[in-house]
Amino acid sequence: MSAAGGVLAAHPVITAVPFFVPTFIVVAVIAVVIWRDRRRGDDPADPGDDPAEDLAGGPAGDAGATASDGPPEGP
Amino acid sequence: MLDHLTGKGAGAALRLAAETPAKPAGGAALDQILIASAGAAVLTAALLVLGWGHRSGRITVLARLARLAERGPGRGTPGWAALPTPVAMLSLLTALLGMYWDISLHISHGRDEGPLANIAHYPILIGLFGIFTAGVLAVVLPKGERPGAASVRITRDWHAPAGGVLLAGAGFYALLGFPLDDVWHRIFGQDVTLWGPTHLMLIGGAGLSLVAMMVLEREGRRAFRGPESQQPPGWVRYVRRSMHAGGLLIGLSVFQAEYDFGVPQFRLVHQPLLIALAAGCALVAARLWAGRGGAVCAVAFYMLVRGGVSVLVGWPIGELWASVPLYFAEALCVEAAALLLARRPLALGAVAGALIGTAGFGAEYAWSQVAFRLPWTPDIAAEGMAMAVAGGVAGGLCGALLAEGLEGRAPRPAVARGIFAGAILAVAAAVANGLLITVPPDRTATVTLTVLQPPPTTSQPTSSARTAGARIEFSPADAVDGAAWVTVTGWQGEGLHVDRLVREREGVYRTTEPMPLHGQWKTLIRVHDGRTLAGVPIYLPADPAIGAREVAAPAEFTRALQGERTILQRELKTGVPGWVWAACSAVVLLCTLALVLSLGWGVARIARRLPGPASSGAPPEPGT
Repeated sequence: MSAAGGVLAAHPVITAVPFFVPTFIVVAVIAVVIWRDRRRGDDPADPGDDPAEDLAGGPAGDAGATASDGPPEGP
Repeated sequence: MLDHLTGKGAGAALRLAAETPAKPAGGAALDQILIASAGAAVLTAALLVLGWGHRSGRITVLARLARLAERGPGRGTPGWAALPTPVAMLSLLTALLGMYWDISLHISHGRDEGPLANIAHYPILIGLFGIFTAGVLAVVLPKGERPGAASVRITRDWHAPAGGVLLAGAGFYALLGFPLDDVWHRIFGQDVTLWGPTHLMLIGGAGLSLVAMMVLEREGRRAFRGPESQQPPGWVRYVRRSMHAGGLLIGLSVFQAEYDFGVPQFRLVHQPLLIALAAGCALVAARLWAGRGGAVCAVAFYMLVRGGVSVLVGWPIGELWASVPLYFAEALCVEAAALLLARRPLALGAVAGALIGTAGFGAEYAWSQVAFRLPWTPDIAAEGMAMAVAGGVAGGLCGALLAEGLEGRAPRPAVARGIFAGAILAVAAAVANGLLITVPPDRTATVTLTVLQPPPTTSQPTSSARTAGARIEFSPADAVDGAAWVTVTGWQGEGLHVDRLVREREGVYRTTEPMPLHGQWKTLIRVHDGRTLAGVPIYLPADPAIGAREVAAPAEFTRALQGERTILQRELKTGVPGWVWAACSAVVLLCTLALVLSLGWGVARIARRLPGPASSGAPPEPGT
């Protein structure tokens, strides 16, 4: 493809930057927060993610019941 | 319809093409990139600072806004659900307006010169970022409390509602469409159609975010600990749920946009499939979740918003009119089925879906005769109804599962998963069936131009506003018989021209109004009959940027019937290996499956962990 085609017939990646980089930054920050928390280790919360436990534990405010499912976003 | 006949000379693409050798790729828009990047940086910084400040307790803006929302539209839900919901709602409306405006611009003006060269991309960008922001708000806001048993652990002392995570995920998925779209255009050339895989990501992420909002509403209702006096009256809840379901109907209907405008690039049987799928899913969910009349209210909300967008795009903005399906008939199907089956949700989903696919299909068939540029014809009646039944039943079952999950009841996981997977497979099979097209070989069309304006005797044979009628003779004569459409379609010349041809005798058709044959117009004969989807170019302008030559329209010519893609999407590159296309499509498909399965996971999670009625004080029902 010619140089002319580069401008006209394709979106230059650089012009799409403001469209997606902000989102990626926010996701990256949250990912870093999660990573640092997991790396701190000696987690008092129980690692077992048993749904039944949550049901028994009441609707909210139960510190023992945690969900370790990761945020299921994107690839 | 005749507004397009005022030609305005060569389009911007050609002007730019003359300038491009002097400019590096992307150079022309550098200042715009800087402005947009600065705007994006401010938005990002604001979101990060507010989020960090809220969690560290240094900035209370978010907390105060959340308390405000608790007293306003989000009554009866805690701030982490009350604040993101209106943010997402406004963002979705903005994105929807941008989307229809953008499609309208592409139909009338052709491809973009870049993501910032098109003003309609800004509302899409702001809207999608707003959806993502709403999700992030719901994730960031809960502090010092666990937002319900279905919440997701972020860190040891930070839990986020599943609906918030899903909402952010849906926004992220949609925005991921931008860079992938770019890569796609690099590899394959621009695909000027709504149904490009990456375009589907952009609109699908926004459309499906409604499911995440519904999940968030449920979590918020269950976690609400405020006084009884702050509980919203029943009608507020009813309206809110109907609006959510109406929003889902809008979200699922965006895939029909090419049909709404009258320039579908795929077989017509897709339209009844998509209408029935959207109606089945959203309206069954509306009826079960909101209660009696919920489906009709959801359609009323749909008409208000989607009709409003059509009016805005068509009149103040001055672009093309997008029709809407007549969803009220489908709503009545659901309401009627619910009279008997309201207590058996899955049966209701299946029966209402079947009704939508038959009676609803009939109503849409009649409606299409007056509402759509390309009305349905007997050619698609049988297959269209079969597609509609498949879409209606699959959608109805998914809608029933969704509503059941939102009510804290769900069938056994194996049953739910089986139904969900079956519905996805059925819809995939129906879509694949619709994509199977053929271009019959050895068929030609002989075009004789009539009533040429200006007449050929004038000194300027290629005037800036050349138009003509035409008589078209197909060979062999039975090449076109009982077609779904035979039209002359012109677009991208600063307007849209769709003229359904009149049959004079077997194989011979004529136009009913002059067609544009000048400037940037791309004008062709379109034939769709059964699986045949083909076209004959009449006039195509030279397009140096993509190395395409002009296809002129002499007074009489004979051309072969050919595949439409090379005419409608001239920007596509040829010679890209098939496996590259398959691999790229697989990436997009994986992203999409990840989103759909995540939403299914979210609904199953709240069904499992937040069983029973929505009021917070009620004891949970025994789990299954």
